[in-house]
Amino acid sequence: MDKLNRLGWAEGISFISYGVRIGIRASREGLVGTLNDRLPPGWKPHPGQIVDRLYSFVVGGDDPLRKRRLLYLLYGDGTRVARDRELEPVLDAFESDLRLSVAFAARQRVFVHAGVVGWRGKAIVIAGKTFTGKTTLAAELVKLGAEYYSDEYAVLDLSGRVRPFPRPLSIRDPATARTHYLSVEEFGGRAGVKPLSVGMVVDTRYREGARWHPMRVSPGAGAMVLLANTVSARHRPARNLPVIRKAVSSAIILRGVRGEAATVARDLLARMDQADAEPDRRALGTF
Amino acid sequence: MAKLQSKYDVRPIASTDGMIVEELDTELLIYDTARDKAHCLNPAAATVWKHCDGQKTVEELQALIAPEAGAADSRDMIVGCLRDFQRRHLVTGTTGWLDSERQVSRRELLKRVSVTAAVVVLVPLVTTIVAPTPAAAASCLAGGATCSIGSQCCSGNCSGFTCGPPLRPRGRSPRNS
Repeated sequence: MDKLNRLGWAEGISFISYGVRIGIRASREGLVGTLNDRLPPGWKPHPGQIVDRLYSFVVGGDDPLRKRRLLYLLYGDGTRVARDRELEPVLDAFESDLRLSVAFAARQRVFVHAGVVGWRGKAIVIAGKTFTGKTTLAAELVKLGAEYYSDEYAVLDLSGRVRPFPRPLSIRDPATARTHYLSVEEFGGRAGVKPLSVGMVVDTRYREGARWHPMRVSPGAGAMVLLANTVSARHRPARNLPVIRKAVSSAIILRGVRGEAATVARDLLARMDQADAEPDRRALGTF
Repeated sequence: MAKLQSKYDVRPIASTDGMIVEELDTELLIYDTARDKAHCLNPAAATVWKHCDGQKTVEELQALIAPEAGAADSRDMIVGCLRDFQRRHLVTGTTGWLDSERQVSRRELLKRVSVTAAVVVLVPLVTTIVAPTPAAAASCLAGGATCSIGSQCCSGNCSGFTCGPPLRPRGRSPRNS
């Protein structure tokens, strides 16, 4: 880190996101100003000099003096995060590392890897690993009128309610494995802003041709699904467990493989409506 | 109900050191901070674990779960349950005794109980997961995507700025791994 600190730094900013202070510095002017779109939702400038995580960009590109191309380098504190001939992959690595750092270090929030939408005042949380189809299902739900909260993290506050993390939806092109981003408005939907209690947790993954016959499982099984996708699961279990308990205590927990997202999305909303109409069943914990 | 007696005087004790316990209605969530594992005990297993106080004998614990099941079935249930607990470091004081007890698979037990019991019997069940590392609980890149370091790729392998297949130790064929 000392070696890094001795390099000349041309510019820098610091900001706060979900209570985590982040600093960014770059070896050449003009880069930091282009990063705004890559910062986590809801970030605010922070005047302090002490940060929880410091990113250092060593700007590469053509070196006309030595007639060679320098690599772009990115460090998170003292550890190298990315190294590439082009800037774009380094910025992608920065964005994903930054989101993960905020998710990991947030003191008042529990970040669960999940897609989230809101429906009639309750949240539907689609928890799961990458490539299980969370974004596709969240996008279908938004198309049907649900409010968009996140396609990456369910941000739980200490009372177990879900807060928005409204970054653009990341859609993967299966042919090129590249990701492109679409705002929720481009889907014809709208983003939710109010904190919501969890109405449903869905543990599913896409399998071509599969029929959607979910099994209703216990709140304990739902808690395990959320915990298995919690970023700080190992580091703050004493804080996470009560939050997750509160989140799932009155939720419907569904588990099963799914086929096409459109059919499943309609079914999920119908089940939410049914649970709304028959609150006794949920209160009794029938599953 | 006739009780089967053990030659051992076994009084299991629930391990609580380094365990974070959270009650969820009738279920129990337990996080083992030493091993970074989370356990979910269904209502029957939760009842047994909560009563493992070093005072109650196995016979007394047996009476707590499924009194509707036959003596042999409930004995197999409690043995299976305590074996699950021991394997997951959730109890102490059962070493030796469990080895001397008959081992019945859960499948066999479920089959038998469903045939013999007149009412629905909840068999004690423990579900366990290994708590994820931060990177394991985050999004990652697919094979063929541009990457800078291995941790960005789902495979953990970034070679030549592209996510490749998972790396395997030398000499092991994919079929054997």
